[in-house]
Amino acid sequence: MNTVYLKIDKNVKVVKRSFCLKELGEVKCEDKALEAKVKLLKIPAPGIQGPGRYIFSIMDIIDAISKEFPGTEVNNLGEADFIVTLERKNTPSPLWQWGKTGFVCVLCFFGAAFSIMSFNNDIGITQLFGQLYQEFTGEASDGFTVLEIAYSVGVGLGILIFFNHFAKMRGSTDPTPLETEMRKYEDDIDKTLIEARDRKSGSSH
Amino acid sequence: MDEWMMGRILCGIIGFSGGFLVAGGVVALIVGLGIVTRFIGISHTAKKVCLYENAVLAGGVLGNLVTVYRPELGFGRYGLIALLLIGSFCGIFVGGWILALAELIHVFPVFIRRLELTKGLSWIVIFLAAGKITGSLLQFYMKWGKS
Repeated sequence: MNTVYLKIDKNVKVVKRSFCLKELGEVKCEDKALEAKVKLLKIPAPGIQGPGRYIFSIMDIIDAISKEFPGTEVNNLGEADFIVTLERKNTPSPLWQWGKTGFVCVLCFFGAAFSIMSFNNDIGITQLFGQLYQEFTGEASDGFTVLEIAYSVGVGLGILIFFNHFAKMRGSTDPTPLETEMRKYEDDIDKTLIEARDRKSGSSH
Repeated sequence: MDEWMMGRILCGIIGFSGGFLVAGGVVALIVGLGIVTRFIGISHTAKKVCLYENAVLAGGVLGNLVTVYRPELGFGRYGLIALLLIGSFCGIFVGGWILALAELIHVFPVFIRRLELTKGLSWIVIFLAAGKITGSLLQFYMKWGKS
């Protein structure tokens, strides 16, 4: 009895509408000849019409393997459900890419300016700084002193430090909060897609 | 025990209880936001966590004294140096704080995926920081803040 070991990632990208098992993940088998054959097994994907995300169950893969190679045992070491993404072929121009990034930059710039002003108003910073200035120097504050300027510059620095923006220059290997957040978000999307499919087919929940 | 004494003791109990709970809230806020852990992570100084706890304690007590008792420190010109330091450090802390507080960071993944951004992602952070600096300076200079 031959055992085929399978390890498929949660989110797989393919470039063509028809693909073989090798493109989805790792395949291992003691019988090397069988391994090579299983690797080239075409995965039935009748649902795939155009670019987009498609949810597959490992059961479909097991069905396909046992139909083609009767008597083989499949041992799944990866995900039970996974997402196959068929990518669009044409990549947009760099100008368009940078244009979008520029748009988000402008959004972030004005959004950040607005939110710091509302935050400062919320905590009554003008009053607090006036009071501190009076206590430390004994003079009345005119509202735009060294305290306010240092604070304003510090806010920007704090953001850069929080995002570990200088880490790339030092070659630090830790991911930035933005990268961890991105990964979390993508995991959530994958989970939601898979569970939404389950709900639709009524197999669970 | 006369009424005067009763009032004082009651005030003491109320003040102590209030301070006790607010202190818990402040520490929970600072720790819960995860800025301190980030600063420690960036500087790779997790061994000195105890020292940072003491620093939070000392800062909390001092800040409280300065706002509750409003002492006339009257440092004159030297006060400006102190204010420069206080302003800078407060600003850096708040810079990290508002990001964590506003959960602004949760917005980026959505933007990046919806608009399929691929180029120049680090510029977004720089523009964010620039926006915060501009907004804050403008507000103080134009005296838009309520006092």
